[in-house]
Amino acid sequence: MGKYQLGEFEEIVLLTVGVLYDEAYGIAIKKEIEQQLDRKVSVGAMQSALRRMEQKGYVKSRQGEVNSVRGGRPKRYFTITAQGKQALEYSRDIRTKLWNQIPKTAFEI
Amino acid sequence: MIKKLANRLFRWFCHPDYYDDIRGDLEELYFEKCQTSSQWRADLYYLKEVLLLFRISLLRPSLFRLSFIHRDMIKNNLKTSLRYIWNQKSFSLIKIGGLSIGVAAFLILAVYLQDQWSYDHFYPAKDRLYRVTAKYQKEGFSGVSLPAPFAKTLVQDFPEVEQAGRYIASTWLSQVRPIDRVQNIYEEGIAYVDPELLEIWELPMVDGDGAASMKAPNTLIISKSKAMKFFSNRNPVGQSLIFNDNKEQPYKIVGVFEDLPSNSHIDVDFMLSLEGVEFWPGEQNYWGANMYTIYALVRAQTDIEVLNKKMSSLTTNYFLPSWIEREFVQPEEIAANISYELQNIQDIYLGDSRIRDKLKHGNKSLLWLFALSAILILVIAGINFINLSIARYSLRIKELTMRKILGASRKQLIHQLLIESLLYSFFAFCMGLLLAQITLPFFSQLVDQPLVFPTQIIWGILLFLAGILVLGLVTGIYPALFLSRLKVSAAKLKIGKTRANPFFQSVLVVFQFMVSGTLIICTIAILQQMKFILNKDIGYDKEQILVIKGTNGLADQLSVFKEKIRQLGAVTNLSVSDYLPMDGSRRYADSFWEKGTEKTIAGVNAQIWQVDPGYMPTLGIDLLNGRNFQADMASDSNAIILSQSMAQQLQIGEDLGELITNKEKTWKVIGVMDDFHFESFRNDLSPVCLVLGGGQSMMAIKLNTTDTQPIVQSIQTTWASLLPSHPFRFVFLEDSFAIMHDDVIRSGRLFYGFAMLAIFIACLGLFGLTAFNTDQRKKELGIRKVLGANARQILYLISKDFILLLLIANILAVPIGWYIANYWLANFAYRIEMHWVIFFAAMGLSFLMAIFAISAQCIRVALANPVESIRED
Repeated sequence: MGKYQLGEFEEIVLLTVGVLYDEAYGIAIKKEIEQQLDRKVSVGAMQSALRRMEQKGYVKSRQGEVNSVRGGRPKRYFTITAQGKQALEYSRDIRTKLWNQIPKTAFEI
Repeated sequence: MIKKLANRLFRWFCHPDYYDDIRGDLEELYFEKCQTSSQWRADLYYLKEVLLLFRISLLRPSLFRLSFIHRDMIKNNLKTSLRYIWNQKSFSLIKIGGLSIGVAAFLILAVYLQDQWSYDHFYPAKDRLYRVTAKYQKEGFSGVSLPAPFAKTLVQDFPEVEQAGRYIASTWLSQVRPIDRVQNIYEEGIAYVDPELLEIWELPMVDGDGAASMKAPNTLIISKSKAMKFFSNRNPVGQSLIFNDNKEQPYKIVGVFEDLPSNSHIDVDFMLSLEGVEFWPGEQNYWGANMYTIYALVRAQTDIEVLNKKMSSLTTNYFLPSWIEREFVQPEEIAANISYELQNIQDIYLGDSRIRDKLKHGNKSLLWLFALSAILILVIAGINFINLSIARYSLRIKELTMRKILGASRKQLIHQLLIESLLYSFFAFCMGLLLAQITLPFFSQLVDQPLVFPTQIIWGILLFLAGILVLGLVTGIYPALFLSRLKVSAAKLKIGKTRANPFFQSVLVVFQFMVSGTLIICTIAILQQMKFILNKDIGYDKEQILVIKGTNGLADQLSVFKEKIRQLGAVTNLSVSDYLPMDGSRRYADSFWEKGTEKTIAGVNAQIWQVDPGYMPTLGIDLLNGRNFQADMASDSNAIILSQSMAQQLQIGEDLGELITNKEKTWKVIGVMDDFHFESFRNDLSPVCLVLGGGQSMMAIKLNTTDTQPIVQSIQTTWASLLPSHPFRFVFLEDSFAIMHDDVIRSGRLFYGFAMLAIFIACLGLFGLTAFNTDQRKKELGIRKVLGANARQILYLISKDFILLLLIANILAVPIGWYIANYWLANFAYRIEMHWVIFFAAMGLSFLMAIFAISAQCIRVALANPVESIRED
């Protein structure tokens, strides 16, 4: 999609990261998506998307605290970067632009 | 348990940077899942998530980077390899050419072998279909002809036999025409069959229902191609055909069948129903005449051996009474001599040569020989390739050393060289495929089989790639290992040297020349046998004898025809009869006794031919004693002329006036003639006797000129004027004789081809080896040249090493070649003996070719500037 490569699923994940603001880590993101969109998400798909976006520079991550349930392993929190925000805005703008161009009659089929 | 496994898996493939937090996430999920479901389910869920985590962006980097597939490196290797090939065009051409010849030979032979092995595999019931053979223990051969009631009785008496049908090829029927036409067409491939046979063969019908309709008498089914030929687009079903102008008995077509495929042991286009057929009164119940081939469908899981033994009861219950009635001598002994063996239909074509049927067979031992040759040729070509790759390595050494200095590991060098060899292999395969495509039609003609390349694309591509891979790897491994053995000294850019294993390479050369030598010996042996066959005195003069077939069609006009022919200047003699010493002519065997000895000794089995007085003069058969038949002597209707061997077997010497009988008729001996060959030289001479008789299906005409064209023309015109409704068919006796030994001729040509190929490749190999050798000794030769060596001395120097090897190779080739040639010659009752000449000729040829190969290098060395070789860069 032009300068900002963002897949549909990636977009969803990115938005969710934004929604969760500072609390966005693996499981939380997964649960939020499942709850909000009513669709099953596998850990693999999501992590894969997150890492990809990190490589592209749309999110950044930091390490968080540990807890016993996780067996002493730290959580990883993700936040959107400025570039990520631009990518989301671009995507939203494109959609809006296209939406506005649809004549009213197109939906009265 | 499952969770532990899943963990181990995850740990293995996951990127180390991501491992920890993702693992943590998983644990959290697992914990929650455990709250709501059983541990079992939680475990499975865990595993599922782990598996779904196997994604490219999460993988370990090293899982990715397989150490031997570096994309860019491969590109570079290919580029360099291609450059090398292009820059050394002639050398590369030799390498690729040699290998592609090997590949082509292998491919062609693969197709041929596959065709031969596939005969009769198309019958649906092939594992239960058998042909009945009767084995005659004493005589050592088996026959396939059995009496009329055999098939019915087989089904009746043996529950293991589900169904049986009879087949009889009717060679006496040859003229066919639709009922509404006058012009006859000559056809072969006419046979009588039982409708049951069609059922057990499950013959695919194009039209009509075959077996059921054939239960009516005077019906036939016709093959699709013949239906097209006779009726073009009209529906043949319902039409009638007349055979041999027998207007009283037309046959109605009730079905059309798919032509039998080319890999079938029989070739039949017209199948006439045996329903209601009786060749003579009472024949259908007569156990004394053996005329039918019997095919049986056996129930599944029948033990064939057991069934074979049980079938002996047929001899005792049915044959024996018939023999006793006909007063055979020692019938019980004859019965004991016979045993039955069921032969699976797929084994017929390549089967035992001791089974005498009148069919064309593939030769199993020949096939093995071919397979061996094909593999050998490929091996030699491969060896060549290896040798040539190693030769001239001094050209590569700088490049390879440079690479090593720049940091290549030995493994990487090997990879580079392997890729190069794969590239060569690819080219060689492509060229080989092309070559094979081009030469397949020639080869197909040579072996008289229609051969085509199998066209299944997927198979083809897979095999193609696999072949290239195997070839490339096998031929590339040794050079790769050899060339990468470099040592680099840090002090100077001194280029290391390694010596090729001279022993190994010598062995290769010896092997190559040994194989070529053997092939040459075999070829010469075959060619000599061919010459022998064509030139041996066969007891009659086969030259310039024109044989007209189908003269029985002339009926009353025969004498008119004969007169007209006699008037042609070039005709010296002619004879009319049914029997001629060539393939396809009639044969009739019977047993004979000297009158009075019928009950005391077993009879002499001999051919008895009905001829006319002109027979012996026309064929040029010599009389040893007595006289020929005379047309005007009435008593000659009881006269008989014996062949020398027959007279000897009857123990009557060469006396005349003896009485000979076959228990039905008696003759008086008026002459004894020279033996003559009427079968291929594979068989011993059979005894023959001649009596006067009426058959007139063939006319033999002796011409006194070799300019036969005009004569044939005038005879043809005469024929057309008397019998326009029958086609004029003729053949020259000597051609027919040659055809009898057709397979020898073809084998000869094939081996000739092989030998040429082997020698060519061996010479290529030697060429390469000498190239390597001279390359190694560059400096030494250069210095010698400077010191004044001339061309002849150089030749001596270079070839010295190889002469010994060649000698060894040839000496080894002699016994092997002798053994193989002998093995093949053993098939013939009449054969050549292998003289010294053969072996010397083979060796000489070998040497000649070798010298030729070596001299190329010698010339190169002799012309080279010694400065080039001594200079050190």
